[in-house]
This record gives sequence, C-alpha cells and structure tokens, in this order.
Amino acid sequence: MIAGALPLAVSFDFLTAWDFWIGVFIIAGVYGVFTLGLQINVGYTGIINFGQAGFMALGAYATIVFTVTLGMPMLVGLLLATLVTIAAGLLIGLPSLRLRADYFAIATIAFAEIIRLTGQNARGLTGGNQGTISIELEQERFFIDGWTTVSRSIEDNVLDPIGLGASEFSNLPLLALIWITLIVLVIVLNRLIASPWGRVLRAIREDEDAARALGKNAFAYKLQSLTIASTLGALSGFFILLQLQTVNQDVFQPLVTFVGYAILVLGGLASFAGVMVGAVILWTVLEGMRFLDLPLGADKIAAMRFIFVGLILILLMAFRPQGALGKREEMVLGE
Amino acid sequence: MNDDAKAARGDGAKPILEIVDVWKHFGGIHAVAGASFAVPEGSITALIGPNGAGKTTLFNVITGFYRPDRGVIAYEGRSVFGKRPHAIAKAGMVRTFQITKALAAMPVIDNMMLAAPHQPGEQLPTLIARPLASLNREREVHDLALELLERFDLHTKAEDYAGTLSGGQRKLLELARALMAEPRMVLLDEPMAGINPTLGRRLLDHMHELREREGVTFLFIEHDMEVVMNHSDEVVVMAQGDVIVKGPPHEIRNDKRVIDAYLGGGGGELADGGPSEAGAGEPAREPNR
Repeated sequence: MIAGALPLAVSFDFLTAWDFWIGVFIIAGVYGVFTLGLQINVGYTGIINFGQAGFMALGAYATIVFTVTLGMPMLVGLLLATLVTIAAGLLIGLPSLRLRADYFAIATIAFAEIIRLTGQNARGLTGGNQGTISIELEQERFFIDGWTTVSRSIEDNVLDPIGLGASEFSNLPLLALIWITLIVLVIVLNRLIASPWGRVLRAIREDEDAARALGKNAFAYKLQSLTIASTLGALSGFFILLQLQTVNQDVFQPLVTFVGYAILVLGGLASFAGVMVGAVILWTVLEGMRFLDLPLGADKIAAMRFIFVGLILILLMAFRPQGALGKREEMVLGE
Repeated sequence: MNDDAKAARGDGAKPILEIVDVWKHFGGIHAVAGASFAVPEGSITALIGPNGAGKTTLFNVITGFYRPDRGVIAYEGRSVFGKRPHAIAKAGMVRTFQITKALAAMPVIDNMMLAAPHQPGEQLPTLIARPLASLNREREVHDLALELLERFDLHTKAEDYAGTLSGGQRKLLELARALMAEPRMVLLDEPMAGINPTLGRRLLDHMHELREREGVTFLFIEHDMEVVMNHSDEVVVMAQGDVIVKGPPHEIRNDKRVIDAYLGGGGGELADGGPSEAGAGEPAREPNR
C-alpha cells in the first residue's frame, strides 16, 4: 500500500504489524492507568490536578529504591512505593486542597516538578540523569528481572503452545498485565462512582458549597479523590518501569500530565471507559506518525506529532466537544 | 393567623437559634456588626433589611460558610460558632442559597438522594465493608425522594438533569432537597426571588405545611414585603450590619426606624412598596420598641 502518486511516500504497512499494535497498546495502557487518576479528579470531583506526573515519578523512583537498593520483592516494592506516593498525595493535598481550583493546579505542578528535579539530583537514589540503570548496575540487581521470569514462563507455557512464540509477541504478557489491570480498574472505579460515595464526588464537582450545605465534608472527599489519583499515578509509574526497564527524570516531564489531559479530552470527561478509548486513539496517532516518511529531520517529525494531536483536539472541540464517550448534556449543563 | 400560631406555640417558645452580638468584618467593612436575635422554635421568621444590610453575610456566618469574628451562635442550645458548614448541616440546620445551587449536571433524583443523611455508602470503608446496608438505604432514600418530589410536583422530572429545570423549579428543588436532609431548621435566602407568583405561592404553602406537620423552623431572607407581612410570625430587621428592630409583622410595618432604614434616611423617592405603603395606609403610630 504505497501512495505512489504523492510526492511524499507514506507507507501504512506498519498498521498490519503485530509489534506496532502491541507497542501502542502497552503505552496506551500505561497512560490509561495514569489518566484514570486525572479522570476521577477532573471529571468527577472538579479538582484540577496538574501534578499527576509527579505521582508517577514518585511511584517509579520509590519502586526502584525498594526493589533494587533495598532488594525487596517486586510486589512488596510496588506496595510500599504506592504507600509513599499516597503519603505524598496527602502531603500536597492537606495544605493545598483548601485553595481555589486554579491555585491548587499551580501547587500540584510545582509538586510534580519538585519530585522530578529531586529525582534528577538525588543521584544516589535515582541515578540522576543517567537513569535508574546506573543504580541497578551498581547494585548488580535489576528491577526488570523479577518481571522477566514471569513473562518468560507465560511465553513458554501459554503463548508457545498456541503458536504465538515468535519474538514479536514477546511483549504480550506485559500487554496482558497492563490491560487486565486497566480494565479491572475501570470496572471498580465505575462502581465507586455509581455509589453514594461517587454521588458526593459529583456533587462537589457541580457545586462544592451546595454539597457542604447538605452535610458533606467536601474537603475530605477531595482528599480521597486525590489519594486515589496518587495511587493510580504510582501504579502507572510501576508500569512505565516495566515498559522502559530504566527511567530518568526526562520520562516525568510536566508534558506527561498534559498528554493525560489530551487523553481526557479525546475520550470524554466523566467517563472511565473514555480514558481507554482516548489513550488508544492518542497513542495510535503519536506512534503511527513515526512511520511518516517526510523529508524532515527526526526531531522535526517528533514535534509534528504534537502539532497533529493539537489539530485533532481543535477539530474535536469544534465537532464533538464531549469527546468519544463523554456526555454532552453534562458538559453543556456543567457551567 | 400569625397570632394563632403564636398562641399555639405559647408565648415563651424556646429559641431554636440564638444570635448574640455577632460580628463579621471584611477588611475595614463591618458586614455584620453586633447583630442579636433569637428564632423561636417552630416559627417562620423573616429577616429583612435594605441591600447591604448584612443579611446574607449573617446567613453565611450562621451556617458556617464564614467564620465570625466574635459573638454567640447557639443552635438548639449548643454553640455552633466556628463549626464547619457540613457539621452544622448534619446537626439539622440546612440552608439554601440566594443564587440557586441546583447540581446542574446531575439528575433531579440524584440531587435529592444526595441530601439524605445516614447513608453508610457515602464513606468508602463502610461502602466496601457493608455494600448491602448502602443498597438498602439507597432504596429507602429513593422512595422518600420520589414522595417528596411528588409533593413538590417535580416527580415527572426525576430523571432529568437538574440543569434543564426552570428557575422556579430549581427553587422548589432546592427546598425539597434541603428537606431530604431531615432538617429541624431551614434557612432560605430569598426563596421568592425570580419565580412566578404561582410557584411562589406553592413554595409558601409548603413552608407552612412543613411547619404545621413536622414542626420545622424557618428563617428566610425576603424583599417582598407582602410575603413577609402575611407569612411570617416574627420579623427581624437589619440595617448596616445590626438588628434595628424585631417583632411581629404588624408592629414592624409601622415602625419608623424600618421605614427610615429602607429610605436610607435621605427621604425623597421610595425604593419599593412595602413598609412605606403600610405607613401611608394608616396613621403613623409611635414605634413601640
């Protein structure tokens, strides 16, 4: 399939390659978990969290400290890293959630940058700019080993017998892990939001004072919402470690949070399933554009990818402002 | 009718809400400056006064939305000074807002069910540990909400988003929602503003009915003097942050201080009908306080 008549040769062969889609779905899944946290904050509680990348960074760094530096098993490390991230969420939430929404947003972005820049400079803990691999080399203990064993045994015992033993499928176990987690989370979060507890969250989103006048402790609910977001952020940090195997501060740039917001808008506010859709659409576009054969440098093509995403968002605002699965009425009535 | 109600309560009805020397300032402005009054239990009390008198600020102070500088605020004999709004609402004192706060992007029925107290499913630990208790309470509350919506003639709108209701219907919804919270006392901030007379009458009927049937106490801010005079047992008049007069409506309507407050002391043109009309109707009497 080559568009020969065009001056620019664009090949869409990649769309039929398994490893392309496995790659897209893995990163989409990681961002999906990440963005579920934003969804419960922004879409359901009405608090603007610009610091989700900070929770992801803390989750990833703390996992490395617990598993590599301290040599704990992977799941124990994940659990403790999540607790650390929750503690950080409470630390930022307790003083700043009383602020007006826009000031809270500023406080959270500052928090995320503090975590990232600390990660850049606390070389003994995070490996600094060299990344966590330098810690792993130093300790002669590799985070990914814990997962590789599991992954290999799935490949040998499940994938091989059904004829998916080829190397292009070697990431299927990771894909399955991430997407099973994501789908379970979407189901659980949907049930929570449909509960009386979720109704209080939505009421706070609509009008905090009205909720307080009806006897709801709005602050406590906002804090719980932020705690859930930080938990999901930590989990996405763990997954990004599994995907990239080593991370440095560059992985947790503030841009990551805004990619999450792009997913929110694409998928639709106040829809957890929309997050999955948005993440897949966004990462298909971002990854697919790598294969555009334009007479431009690689850096320019990389930049163009975001121009293209911007264009999609503008068109979306014009023709489907509620996103893929958002509810138009809720959006129109919201303000 | 007002006298009957008063007789029924007995003259020394104990106050459900007591305000003593309450102050609240913003920068150099004393929005509430030493206001004192009491609301008798089971009464319908009107809070009136010219714009800027501090009525809404006082509401916000009473219900915990603003922290007062000093003074005593006692609800059912217990101080609620400095307590947070949700705690005060839980204690049974529920308010509405001047600009209606319908939760627009939620269905009417959710607006109602939200307000119901004692829902174990509103706390994460009990929601997870006792999902059945939460479900049972939901069923109970759902029936209660429909019943109340029917009384307010909003039941056909139960599944609609609250944002699709008209202004008047929103006022009704806000009152109905406040009642879902099982209040002993309801504070209404300009319940009649911006709604047509028919809906307004219905709202007033509900107010009387609730007072007779369930003994709910009402304190409401209102500018419509006809409503104040005909529907309240007690009137509290505020001006410049302080309470200047209080008493039954027939005494208030002829009080010179009230007329002065509304006219801003300057004289000349009349701001609105109300007390001055009443004053013109009968020969002016000496203020009796």
